[in-house]
Amino acid sequence: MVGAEAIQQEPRVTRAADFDEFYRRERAALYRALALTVRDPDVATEAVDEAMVRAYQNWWRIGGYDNPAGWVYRVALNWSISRARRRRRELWPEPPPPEPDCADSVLAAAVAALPDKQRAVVVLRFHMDWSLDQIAAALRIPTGTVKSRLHRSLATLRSELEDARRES
Amino acid sequence: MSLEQQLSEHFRRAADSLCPPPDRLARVVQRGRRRRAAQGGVIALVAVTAALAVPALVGSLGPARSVSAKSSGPATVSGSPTDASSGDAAALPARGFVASGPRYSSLEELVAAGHLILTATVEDVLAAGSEGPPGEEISHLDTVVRVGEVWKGSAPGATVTVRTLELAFAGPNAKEWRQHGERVVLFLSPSTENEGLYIPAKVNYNQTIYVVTDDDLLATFPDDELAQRVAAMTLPQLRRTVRQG
Repeated sequence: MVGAEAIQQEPRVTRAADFDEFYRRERAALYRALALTVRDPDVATEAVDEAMVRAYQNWWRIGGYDNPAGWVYRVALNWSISRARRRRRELWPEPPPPEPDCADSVLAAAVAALPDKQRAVVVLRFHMDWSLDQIAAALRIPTGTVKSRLHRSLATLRSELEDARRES
Repeated sequence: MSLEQQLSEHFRRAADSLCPPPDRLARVVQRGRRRRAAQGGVIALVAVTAALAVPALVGSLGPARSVSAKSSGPATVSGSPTDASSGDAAALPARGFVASGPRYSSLEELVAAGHLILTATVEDVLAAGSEGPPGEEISHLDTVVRVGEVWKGSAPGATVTVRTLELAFAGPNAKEWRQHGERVVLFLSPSTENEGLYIPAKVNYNQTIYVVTDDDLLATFPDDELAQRVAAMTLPQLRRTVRQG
């Protein structure tokens, strides 16, 4: 078990009373993060709702985690993946082609083309602003894996941006 | 602007362009809170009753009995009002869901009691409705698990649905296993009241469910003596023992 996960797997017992506050504070942000990861707002809405219900049912435990939002994100992401598997189809829609002369469009297409696991790490790091340890705990992977996924993602994105710059 | 800053900015703009998610849950959560508050009173009452009643029951029966000790009746702490008639629970109070199933004293007994013993991965957890008089409803969850290895019996299909009390694992001394992706070992019996569903073997929650991490086992009720012994085994050891019968 990795260090960060160990932290998350040793919950402090908590009361359900603060679930409302957590729900109000985190729901929209988690929805946005998941929508950016799975690139399907409808799936993200449903997945976060599902994960929030499960968090609510287990709040005595989840509420004691260092980053309950990480748990909700992982459950929502797994739910999205399972649903896609059940429906036997690609979860993530094809990335749109970049519009010429638009740096953000190139970046958007490059992010969309990242492997799912790398995109999840990039979204959590640069959108949610979570630490490497928080990401590791949320995704249940070692911190070293987070670092390497982040490193590979940034290298890919840099390369894509550089190619686009040269072509333009 | 660095790539990291570009990414933050890109995500901020992309997130801003998303419509706010519809807040479909707020009412559900509020309703759930009210229901849970009502249930909390019942659960607390039942827990207190159990704390008082179980030692008395066990005391009247002597040391914890095995299922095979039929003449002594069960010494038990958990179960479900549904299927309470299965196993040796017939003589127990109808509403005493904390005391409706047998407690096993050895792994051999547990294996003998399990009609279907398997490894599985939790796929989905569904609300399964509630029963009981208004204000005292007790809710169930249906946990859909994808079958891994079947060690005993035969699975009805690629998935098995296990019905349990919603709050059965909600306590500081229990591990909640009913969440997506959790790998588990289950000792199950078919439900006598709901065809197609399974329940923890003869309504024993304490000793019949183990969470699997790699090859390690984690008891969902770590305070239970037999559960501790089972959890001390590795997954291959438990598999071997179960298959040997």
